Parts: sequence; C-alpha cells; structure tokens
Amino acid sequence: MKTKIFSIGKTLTALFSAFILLSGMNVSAISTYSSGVVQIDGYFDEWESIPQTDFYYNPDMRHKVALFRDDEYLYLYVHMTENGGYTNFNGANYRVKADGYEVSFIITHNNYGQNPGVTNAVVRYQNGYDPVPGSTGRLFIASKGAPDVCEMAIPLKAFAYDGIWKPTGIDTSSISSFTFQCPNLGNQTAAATGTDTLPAAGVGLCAAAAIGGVTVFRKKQRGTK
Amino acid sequence: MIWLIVLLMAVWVYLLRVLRKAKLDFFRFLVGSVGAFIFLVVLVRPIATVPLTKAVAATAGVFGQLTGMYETYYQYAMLFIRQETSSISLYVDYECSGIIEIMAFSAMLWFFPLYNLVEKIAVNIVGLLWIFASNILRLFVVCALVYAFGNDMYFFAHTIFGRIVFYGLSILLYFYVFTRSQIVRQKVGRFRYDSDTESNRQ
Repeated sequence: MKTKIFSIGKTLTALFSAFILLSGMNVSAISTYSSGVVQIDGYFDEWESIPQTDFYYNPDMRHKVALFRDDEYLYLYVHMTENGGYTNFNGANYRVKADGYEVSFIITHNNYGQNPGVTNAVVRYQNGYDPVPGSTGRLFIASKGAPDVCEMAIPLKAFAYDGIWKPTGIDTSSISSFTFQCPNLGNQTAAATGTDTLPAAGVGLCAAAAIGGVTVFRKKQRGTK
Repeated sequence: MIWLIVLLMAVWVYLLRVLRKAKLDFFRFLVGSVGAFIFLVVLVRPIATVPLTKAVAATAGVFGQLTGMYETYYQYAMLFIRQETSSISLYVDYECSGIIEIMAFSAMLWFFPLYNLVEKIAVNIVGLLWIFASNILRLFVVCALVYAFGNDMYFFAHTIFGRIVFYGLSILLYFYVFTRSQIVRQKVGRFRYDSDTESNRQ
C-alpha cells in the first residue's frame, strides 16, 4: 500500500504556524486553587490539614505558621508556641512578599486585656496603619500560659498598594508567589508559589526543534546527492 | 454561549470537509489542529484541569514520600517542602498541570496526515503519558533541588533547570512523533516509488 506523503516543508510551516497561533491565545484564565477551604470564623480545625512551618529563635519555643491561597485571598495562620514563655499573640511585622514586592502588615485587636475567648483581628498596613479593605481576621486569646491562635484573610488586591496608597505595580490578578517572614516570631520563611511550565514557550520550542531537525536532515540529504 | 460553540464547530467541520475535498492537506492540518485546540480549551479544559492537577500532585507526591524530600497535599494540588529554616508550598496550578501541552500535542496529532486511526490513538495515549511523566519528573527535580539547596534555589530550579528537563523531554516526543516519522516514511515512500518504477521497466 502506498503511503501518501505530506510535504515536509508545508507540514512544518503548518506546525509552526499552528504553534504561533496557539502561543498567542490567552490560556491563563482558569482557577485551580481550592477555594472555600479556610473559613475565618475562629474555628481553626481546617488548618490541621494544611502544612505548617515552625518559626522560632529558641528551638524549644516553636510557633506554627501556615500560608494558604486561593484566587482571591492569602490566608495566614499563626499558632503561638505550646511550650510557654511566648504564648501571647504578636501581630507586628508581618512581611509578605508578593512576586518579590514586600508589603508589611500589622494585626491589631481590641482585647489587650487578654480576656480568654475569640475576638476580631484587624489586618492593617504597617505603613500608614490603615485597615486593609476586605480583610478579615479572628484571634483566639487563650487563658494564661496557653497559646493564642490567629487566622486571617488578606485579599490579593491588597498587594496593589504598599499602605500609603503608593501603587506597587503588581498585577494582583496573577500573583504567583508569596513569601512570609516575621522577625517577631522567628527568622524562618514560609513561601507559597506556582510552578508553571510556561506552556507557550514550550510548545514554540518544540516546533522550532522539529523544524530544525528536518532542515538539518534535508541539508544533509541534498549534500549526499 | 453553547449555541455559539455549536455553530462554530459546525463551520469548522464544514471547512474541514471542503479542504479535504479540495485536497488542501496543508490548510486542513492548519485549520484542523488550531480548531481542535480551541475546542479542547473551551470544552475539555474546564473539566480536565482540576483532576489533572490533583493527579500530578498525587503522583509527584509518591516520589516525595519515597525519598522523604517533600510531602503532598493532593486535595489542594500542593507539594510541600519542609526545611529547617524555611518551607515552600508548590501549587500545581493550571499552567503547571501540563494540560496545554497535552491538548496542543493531541490537536496536532489528530490532523497530522501521516498516521492512521489506530496509530493516532496509540501515539496519543503514549504522548499523553509521556507529557504527564515529564511533568512529574520536572516537579521532582525542582523539589529535589529546593530540598537540597534551600528556597534560594527555587528560581533556578523552577525557571531554568526544571523547564530544561521538561522541554528536553517534550522535544524528544515531538521529534519522534512528527519529525522522525516524517523523514522515515518519506524515505520508505521514495524507495517504494523507485522500486515500482524499476519493476515496471523490467
């Protein structure tokens, strides 16, 4: 049976054209982040299934910190040490780098009398002290000697400004990485980031390689004739 | 919206028939593969992306557990690398799942005129598995480098090294499926043509 052969030149031109067309398409507007996992309600049980990082200076007094994100919010969880000594919540110097641009937050509340129970926590820009629009937080003040626990949600749109309404220049609809540091809790860092393959570039590269391979082959073929 | 998709699909199918009858293989491939990709993006991507990200996270997590280098939270499509002074959560998001590469490969394969139906099915399955496995390897390499050298290594591991691994394996797939097969079958074609000519002369 005779196989109908497609012209190499035309095929590869078509391949390349197809890749160029595909590469130009907007293929980034779909969510794969799990939403509704974290509820800012003063119940912290959902954080048990989210990985936590130890923040500390003294290895015997480790605070637990967790980061989680979806399309709209960055969620943060701070569980002060179980081992006594530094169990009261400290909400200062919460430094978050969004795609490399740092914005600092400070978490305040109205229960500095340390009366046990759950209270609202207010997320503010450290620079300017204004509350972050759309943010929420809940703080559990424990009885003396037991660890305080706080959870908060910071809208991704908050990273458009640095707190004194100076634009950061970040496209908040496509932030891919967050890094959290808090020198008041420890010198560790916790990061959350995506790992895209840059599909358009990959597909284009494959096309270029396919064309290159055949071009070399054809040149060699012509050389032997 | 659905009516618009159906209408566009009908136009696309009609166009493919016209190009086939006109024996314009070049344009048929072009229109066919681009159209197929667009319809895959519109119709299949919303359904397939989340399961694929979870499958990638779960499979990559098996190697993390075996080596003890990272943990998987596949329900959130997340890999977690824990170190003494830092930690990093890697979200297997839409662009990381490999779905675009899988759809682009499949769309082109199905309108590439060199294979018959059975071959296309077989090559498509192998290609899909190859891209999936390449992505797992990429993630494993990224996690291993970050685990070994810390979060500072992430940029190099992800942006450069991981992509070199993934692109290298993808190019290999494209070479075997599109480039090599083209060359090999063309050689066979010429050989047969020449043989036929020889036998006719005798």
